[in-house]
Amino acid sequence: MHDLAKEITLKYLGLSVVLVLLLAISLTLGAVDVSVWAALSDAWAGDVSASRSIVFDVRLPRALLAVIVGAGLGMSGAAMQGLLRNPLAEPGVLGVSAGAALGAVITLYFGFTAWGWLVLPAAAMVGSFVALFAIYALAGRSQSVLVLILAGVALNSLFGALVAVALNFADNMFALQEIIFWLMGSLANRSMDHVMIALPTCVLGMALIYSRHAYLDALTLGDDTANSLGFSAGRERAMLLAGIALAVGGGVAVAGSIGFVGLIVPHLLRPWAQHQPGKLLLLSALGGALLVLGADLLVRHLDVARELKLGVVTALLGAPFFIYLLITGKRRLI
Amino acid sequence: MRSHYPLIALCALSLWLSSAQAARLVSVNLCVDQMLLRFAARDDIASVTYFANNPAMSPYAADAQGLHRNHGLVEEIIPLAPDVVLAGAYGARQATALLSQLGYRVERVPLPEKLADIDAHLLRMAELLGEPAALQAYRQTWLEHKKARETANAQVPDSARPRALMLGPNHIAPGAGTLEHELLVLAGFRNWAADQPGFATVNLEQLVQQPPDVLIVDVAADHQFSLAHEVLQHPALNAAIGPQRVARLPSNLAVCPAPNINTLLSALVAIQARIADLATIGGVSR
Repeated sequence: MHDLAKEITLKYLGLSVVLVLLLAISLTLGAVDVSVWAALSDAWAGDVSASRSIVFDVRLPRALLAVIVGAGLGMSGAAMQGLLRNPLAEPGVLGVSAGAALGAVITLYFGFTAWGWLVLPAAAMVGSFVALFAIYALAGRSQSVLVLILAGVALNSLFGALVAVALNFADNMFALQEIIFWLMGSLANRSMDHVMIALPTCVLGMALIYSRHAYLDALTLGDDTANSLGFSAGRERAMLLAGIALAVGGGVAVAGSIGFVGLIVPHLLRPWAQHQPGKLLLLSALGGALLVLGADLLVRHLDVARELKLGVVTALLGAPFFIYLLITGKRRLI
Repeated sequence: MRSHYPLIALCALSLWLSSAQAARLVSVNLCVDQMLLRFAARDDIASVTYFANNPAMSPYAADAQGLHRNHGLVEEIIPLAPDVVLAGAYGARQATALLSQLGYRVERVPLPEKLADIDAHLLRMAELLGEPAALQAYRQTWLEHKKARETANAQVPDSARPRALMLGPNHIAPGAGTLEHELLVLAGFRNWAADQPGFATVNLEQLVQQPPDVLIVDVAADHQFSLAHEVLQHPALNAAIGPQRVARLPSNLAVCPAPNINTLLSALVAIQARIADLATIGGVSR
């Protein structure tokens, strides 16, 4: 047992080292050549300079957001798979992100954000909670992949359509074309203001999810066993759903919906967590941060006039993976 | 039934007579709308597009109140019994083709893509609108203004001109070959984005590293949020370019240059003068 704990710690360490490396790379590489050291010394001396601004106002918020949003999505995916006991559960695929996007769109484009900074993440959280609750009500009881996927398809289309409707009624003439941001996600030109919205929301959500890790472990033995172990099912689920809604909502509110992160990452890391959902949570957060940061590095360095949306890259990776999971698991489909 | 024909003919005749004194002009293009609202007699305008009363897209939005507004649909236009349907060079292709087939007079008015096209555009509109005096005076002002600027520019060496960047929503800026580029040059600027052809996205990092002398941004109303406008307020831009080097241009002016060309040029010249003053006072030249 001691060896196992040591092994897991090593894995956390390994992922963290790679994450720090990727962070350093994403601060160093960009459209123009600037020295991170020069930026650091300018910041230390309190000088205003172009390199300081590029590293700290442009690249840092982007990299931080990739980590925060990715961690939130990765952990939410792991939590949803544990809670629904279904390997295909994921916030993007099941419309939870689209629900969050709807909440964000309604507050942003119709002037409600003037009420205070809290309005945007709160609305995104409410949107994702509604979608999450609907998914849970529709597919939470049955373990059928088919029911889950069909419910997800319906909710995803519904919330996507509602986002389009909302943008159509927005005053700004650029609103409608921005549907691609909300449904595909991007971190281009985000600033520290966005970090300040996403960070508290996602961290609170992840803390809430992680605090329920023992229940997720118990749930692998079935509802009845979990109950007999002393968990109050209603309370645990409500807290998990709220945590997922916060973690997804905080990210979507500033970066749009980036799909498939919560699907790929828990699957790849599940063997590392000895198939225990509780252990998988933190690993998935780290893995999600890595995946989104890596994908963002890729879109930043693909030399195209208009930057590829982040969700396009994760979908290109994730959709084939999803199909692979469907094929390998098809005997358990119905 | 047969006995009703003379009556219908009489009605049609009286309708035709009553409308005969005013030309019934229908526009299916926002920029043509603006020309009509500025220079045509109000009684002559039978319909404008549904964008025409949007203050974000047209400075003459208030004038479009109370007029019939179309969505470029044939079924909306036929009941208006237009004498002429005015369209842009490319837009509303299906609708105008169908209207032509049905025997309506459709006039395509190419919109200017270069400053040199503006004169021809104004002449063509004047011809279609029956040579209104206001439009002729407007054209005269433009030609004189342009000539005066060209003379003034000839006396300033290129290197002494401030570098301006017109940064639009989504960080898209006009580069070489665009009408906006020519307008910047005419106002006495060098265009920061001159090395890129056409409209292209400006990279935020490049902009921070080599900031222009003046950043000219579109202003949209505060309550009209869009991500496209949000990026114009990125903190890195504020850090790189001081607030006195940011100039604002109402976004509805630049949507259609021809009906606003004199206002646009005057606004840009005013910005140029302010920035040139800044350079002399501060003694800084980048």
